[in-house]
Amino acid sequence: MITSALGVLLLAAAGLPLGFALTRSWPLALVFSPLTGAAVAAAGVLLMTWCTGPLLLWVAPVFLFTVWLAWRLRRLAPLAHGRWGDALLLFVPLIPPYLMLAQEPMGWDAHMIWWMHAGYFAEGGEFTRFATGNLSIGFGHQDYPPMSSAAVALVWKALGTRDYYPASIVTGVVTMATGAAVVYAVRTVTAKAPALVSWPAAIAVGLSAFSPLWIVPTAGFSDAMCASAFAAGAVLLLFGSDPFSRRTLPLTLLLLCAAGLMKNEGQSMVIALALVGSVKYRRNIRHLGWVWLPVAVSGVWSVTVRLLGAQTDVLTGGRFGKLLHGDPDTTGRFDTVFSTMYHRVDQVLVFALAVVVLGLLFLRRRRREFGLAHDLWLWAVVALYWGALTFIYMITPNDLKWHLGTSVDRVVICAVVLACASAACWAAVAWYQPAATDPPAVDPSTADNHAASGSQR
Amino acid sequence: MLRRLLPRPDSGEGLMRFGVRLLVVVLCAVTLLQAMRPAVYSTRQGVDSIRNRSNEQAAPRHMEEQLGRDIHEQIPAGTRVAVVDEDLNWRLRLAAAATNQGMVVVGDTVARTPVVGSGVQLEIWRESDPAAPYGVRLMTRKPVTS
Repeated sequence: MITSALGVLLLAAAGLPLGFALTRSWPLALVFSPLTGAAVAAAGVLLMTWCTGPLLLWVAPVFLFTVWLAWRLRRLAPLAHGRWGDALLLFVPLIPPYLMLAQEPMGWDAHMIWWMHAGYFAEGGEFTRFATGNLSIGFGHQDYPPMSSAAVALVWKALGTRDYYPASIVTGVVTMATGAAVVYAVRTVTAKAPALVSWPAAIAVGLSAFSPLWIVPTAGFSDAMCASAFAAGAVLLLFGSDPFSRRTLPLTLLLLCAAGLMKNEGQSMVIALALVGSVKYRRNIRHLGWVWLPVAVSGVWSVTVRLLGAQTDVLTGGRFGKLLHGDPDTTGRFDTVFSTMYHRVDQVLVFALAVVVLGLLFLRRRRREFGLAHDLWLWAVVALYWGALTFIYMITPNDLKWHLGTSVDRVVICAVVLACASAACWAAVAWYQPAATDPPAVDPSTADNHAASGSQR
Repeated sequence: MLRRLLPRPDSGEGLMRFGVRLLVVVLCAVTLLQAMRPAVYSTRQGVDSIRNRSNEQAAPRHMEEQLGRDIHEQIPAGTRVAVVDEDLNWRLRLAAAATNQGMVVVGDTVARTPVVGSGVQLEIWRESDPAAPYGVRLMTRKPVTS
């Protein structure tokens, strides 16, 4: 337990300067520090993989860069909701379900994929380059993105251990930090509603990452952290009052880049968001680069590992050709895929969609007054991501039932969290009581930037 | 205080629209509560798992960690090893543990096929031994065929 606690402290210390640079608030920096620590470690792993050498040799300059960044940005206005009380609300309500981290960390994927990657990252650049293309350990899916493994590798290397409890706890606190990020995002965009509505709704969204399969966030997997980080970034980008301001954009981009570097599905998510964002912000060409940056970052990792020999089973042996030629065995998979995915999330999705329909019919003006962008942007992202998942399952070279049975509960988490974010926003809109002298929807401190950007709603 | 918090009709808002607004709030609450149920279950399971921790449950983890330490102590990093344990589960876990310790795993770990021509330097597997720490011992040998 002492090693695990030291590991968490180490990761938090590694991420604190970057957290401060992004938020200019020590309480928020502390809450997000496991996530930003993982980001520092992942940047170190990327540099190490390209240039070879020991892991710590590359993490150190990245860390020093974040210290410099924090110093440079210290006078930039801090993010809203950055007091200690807010930080406690972001973090403390998420703790109870994470008590499950006390379980024995013996999850198959955690050991064979995420912590094995951490093991070879910790052995340095030369070994990482070799292990990435080593087909003898191909069961470990070396093409998977590095962020959660990088956090574990940093802790393992610095503390000289390869034990699994520290790995499990570190993975768990990174997931918690992404949960706190989605709570923060929802709270930020619903801040005009009474705090007694906005906070509980936001916290509920943070906890929704345990749905549909409760064990996923604490089993050493990266799915819940990827879904939460993405949902947080998507909410800030699509619903934020001024998403491209210098104040908020860095945090949004970190969350989205992190999602793209946490899972292959994260790449599908950021591509879906980039497509939707490109339409939403089509009149602001100079902002489109920011929308596509997370796609580029995740693409860098994909290209790197493929150059080193890693393979993706869907791409190497997939049924893409058969699908194009209308092979009945392949096209016939659609019903199974759709119904399996849908039945994992129907208890949440049905109610969330009912809310959307009622909201669009009766509360559109109220939502505009509240200052929230159209909800369909978020659902367009869900639809595109859902389509990408369906496509992958249809062309999978694996036995479909096995593939669905071993993964569908995890890959649909993102749809649940986004659906809950949508519901939380509608709850705030419905509860919101406009005053006769209601202030404008735009945050006054960023009003100038907002006017300059001409953001589309 | 509570009355100020509760939703009330806006000026000029009809009863039906206000009713729909309340319905939206209720449906949002149902959505969020449904999505939170697994988190509540996880909390209960977490409390149980803290209360009922036992050495018996920890045994497989201790074994795997011990085998990793044995690999670290007995085999120089960079050695080309083939994992030949008879049990597929342990073969994969040993391959992961060996990689974590900087060993080059060679051969087809899943199929446990012969490793002729892969330059294997050592074959490794595990054996039960009540006298060993956590009842398991790492076994190594020069390859039978190479």
